[in-house]
Amino acid sequence: MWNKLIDFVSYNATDPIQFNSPIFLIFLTVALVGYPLVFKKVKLRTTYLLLFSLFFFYKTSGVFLLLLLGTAYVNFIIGSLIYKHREEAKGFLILSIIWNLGTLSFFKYTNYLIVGFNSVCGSEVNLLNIVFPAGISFFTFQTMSYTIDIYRKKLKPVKSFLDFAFFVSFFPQLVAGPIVRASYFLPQINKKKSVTQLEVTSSIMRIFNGLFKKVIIADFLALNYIQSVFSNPTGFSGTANLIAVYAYAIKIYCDFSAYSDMAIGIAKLFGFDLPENFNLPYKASSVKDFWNRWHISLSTWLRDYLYIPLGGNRRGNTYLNLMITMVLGGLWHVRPNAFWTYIVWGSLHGLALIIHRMWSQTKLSELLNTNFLLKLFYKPFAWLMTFNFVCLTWVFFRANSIQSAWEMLSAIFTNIQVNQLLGWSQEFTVIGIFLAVAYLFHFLPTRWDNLIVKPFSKLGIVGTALLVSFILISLAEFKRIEPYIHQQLSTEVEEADSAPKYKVQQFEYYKF
Amino acid sequence: MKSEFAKIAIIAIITVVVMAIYTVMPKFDYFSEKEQDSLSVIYVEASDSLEVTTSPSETHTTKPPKKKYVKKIKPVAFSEITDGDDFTNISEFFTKLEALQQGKINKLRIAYFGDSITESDLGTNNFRSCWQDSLGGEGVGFVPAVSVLSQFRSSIQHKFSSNWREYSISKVQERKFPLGIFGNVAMPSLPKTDSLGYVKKSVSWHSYSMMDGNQLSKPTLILLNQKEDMPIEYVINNDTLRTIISTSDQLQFITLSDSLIKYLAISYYPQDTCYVYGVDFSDKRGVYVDNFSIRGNKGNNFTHLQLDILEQFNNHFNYDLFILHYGANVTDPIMQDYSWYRIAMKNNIKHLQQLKPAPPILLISMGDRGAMVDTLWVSSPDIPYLIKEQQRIAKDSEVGFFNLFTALGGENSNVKLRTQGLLTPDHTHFTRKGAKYFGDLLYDKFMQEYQTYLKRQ
Repeated sequence: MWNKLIDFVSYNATDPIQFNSPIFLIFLTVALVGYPLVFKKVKLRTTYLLLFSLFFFYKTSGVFLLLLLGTAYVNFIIGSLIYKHREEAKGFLILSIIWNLGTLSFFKYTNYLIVGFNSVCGSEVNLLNIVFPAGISFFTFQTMSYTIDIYRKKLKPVKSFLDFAFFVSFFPQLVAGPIVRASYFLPQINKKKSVTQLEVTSSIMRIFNGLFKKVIIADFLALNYIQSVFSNPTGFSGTANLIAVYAYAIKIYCDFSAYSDMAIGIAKLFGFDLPENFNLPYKASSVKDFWNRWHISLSTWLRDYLYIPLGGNRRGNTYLNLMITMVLGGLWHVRPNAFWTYIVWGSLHGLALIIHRMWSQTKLSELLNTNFLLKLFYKPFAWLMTFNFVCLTWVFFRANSIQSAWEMLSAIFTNIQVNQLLGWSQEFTVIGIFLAVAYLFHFLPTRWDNLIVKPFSKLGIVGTALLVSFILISLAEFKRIEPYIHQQLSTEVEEADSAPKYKVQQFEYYKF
Repeated sequence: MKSEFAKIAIIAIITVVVMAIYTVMPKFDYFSEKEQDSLSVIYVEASDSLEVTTSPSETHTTKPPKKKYVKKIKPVAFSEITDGDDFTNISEFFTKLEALQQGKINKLRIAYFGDSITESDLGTNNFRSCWQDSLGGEGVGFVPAVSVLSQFRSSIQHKFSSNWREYSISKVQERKFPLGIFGNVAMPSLPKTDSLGYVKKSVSWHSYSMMDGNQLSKPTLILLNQKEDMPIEYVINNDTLRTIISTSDQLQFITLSDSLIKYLAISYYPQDTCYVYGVDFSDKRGVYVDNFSIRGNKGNNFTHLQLDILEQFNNHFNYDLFILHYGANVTDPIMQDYSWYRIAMKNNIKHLQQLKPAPPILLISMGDRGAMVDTLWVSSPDIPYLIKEQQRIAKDSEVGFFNLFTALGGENSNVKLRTQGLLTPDHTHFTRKGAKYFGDLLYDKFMQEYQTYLKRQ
């Protein structure tokens, strides 16, 4: 018993706590149970949530807790310095940016710099063994928004470090977004907290929507299909490769938006609002529209703190500004095991945004968008083009190397035959069903959500609790029988000898 | 009960209590039937001295009810599995090889069973040409009628129409069909007719053409036609020929041509169900290697092949050696207990040994398989456990053993092989270049062991 408790409290590098891991349920319950006792007193409430948040971060990244606190403290000090010494504000701002981007770059790019240095100079500097702290890309951007906003006189610095540390480390959004801006979150800290019955139900539904997307759709597709195709694209037919790309497109959406959904839902249970991060991105009819719907908190951050300072669409070369923004957006995504693929991904999106901008200034595009009859044909076409473009760029996003992305694309463009589809559907029937369900959910009208939430909000406490347990048990059972589903329904049968395994799959954005 | 936060807290508590009860409760077993069939229910204390092997039917009588044994798996390090090569059990093959060199016999034939590592003639292509360069022989051996992987085949070009029905051993519901020795069989479609005769699109066909100077030698068609006489039409180089296949309860081996040809295409006009296995390209002299690879196969399902069909294949081809090369689909980085695999595999080997005459068998261990730990590629940590079991399979079944893992360079060799361009980005499968390297390596190993055999004589 005692040992188990110690296990629970201490950091384990191979098994970091996540929203879909079973121990998170215990963690969340403890936090929720104590909350009614403290929520009326602001200071007590903030301290209470801060402690839970710090514990959560310790369980995900261990000693990097000190880095988080350090970053928070440096930015807190610099923020007040900028406010007090207006004449030297620029210098302090640069200091803050150097600290934030410096820590981020050290963990993300040092080894790439060493590799580049070695190849240029022919030297043999050893690579550093850098462990990557979870969520660093997210919280450094949050602290940057704080100092920059103070510099722009949009925000006054917070008086207490407690509040600021709480803003940086609030656990729902800590490791994988949404990126919450200081100006959005800090005013909420001192407000009186209250939620309505309807909000509670819709938050719970939102959390389960996230769990469903992550555990049932994203994990199933990734484990049973996407991984094997992306690791060996030449071993599959063109059709199988193309479907893997579509599957990955819905998988990464389900994976990432699941995290945001759960973050928003959990924060709401404590009475805090987080910004929306996704708005059905694959309904977009242009690349610009896509970026208004995909990872909204990042794209608006890049717009406000990078694109507009560069000159936006008023000063300088707009196309160059777009390109720089998107390439840096790609650079933000770089992970320890892939570099150039993300750069290619970012620049492809930059290129598409430039082309879209050029196109939207022509008369023809104006005509197509305004004429009622032409619009009827143009809109589906534009959607189809956008969707396929976005999907094909995901190839670079997911591939382990440029070469493997290239193999995949060449398989898609040179080796597609219609009769492969029949073979594919026989071999991967279950995958086909899951894909169809996933895309169906994506394209359902949003107003249907209310149809589900309203009846459930009248269930009462015990009813809601039983519903929640029922859904959790169903998910656990699904995880347990998942290996069998694949065996029973699909024709590609492996021998039933190996034991089924239950493993918590990491959220993909967890590693950014 | 004033605030909603208190309600949330109560909901959370009730949920956790229900979940705790669920965790403690015994789990419902959805697939209990399956469990009884599978061999994984046998619990074996892992130690070198003690071993319990029982067939599935016996386990129910010997296993005490509901008593669970704790499995103790002895840790195995990479350094413990570096050797174990044993070719003494296949000296029968070397005897024949010696006879072939002395001109006493004319032909040697090897069947190579594998998985995706050797699919579409990867590796075996080069292995075969090594033999044929030194001892003669012309032809690529057996080629199936229909194979999804034919487009990747590196030795000859193989095409087929899309209207075949294909049955494979890897699909449970298709195991009732008369599968061939390579675990596969194809059924041509019944052609439709209209006022002009047969509708061309509904006729099933397959064709083979020369590639890389591999001529097609002496094609022999292998099929099973039990119900109605069947006309076939075949094209050899540019000549179209017709013949009628009579019915028989046995497999039929029909020689289509007696010489080296460049192109062969066969069309089928069956009136009733008929099964086509494939075409054999081999001469009367030399060494032949048949590649029987199935993607995703673990090698433990041979028992589903009907023995009489196996026997007919074996009697016709007179195999002198079976090579079994599996493992890449068995390994799983977090697994340590492979006793289920050993038991299943031994049953398979036993099944193959029932053939009369039974050729000697050589078991090749798995090669290296990369696993990514953080950002580094290493050998999958379970490999020592699996290879240890494979060594034991070979020892217990008295078949030969070749430790490919060590021959490729041992622990973490996948990293080196990948940088040399011999492995694909998944650090498991061979590239074309890697397949050539592997074929040479295997042939050299055979020659080396052959020299040892001669010295011992």
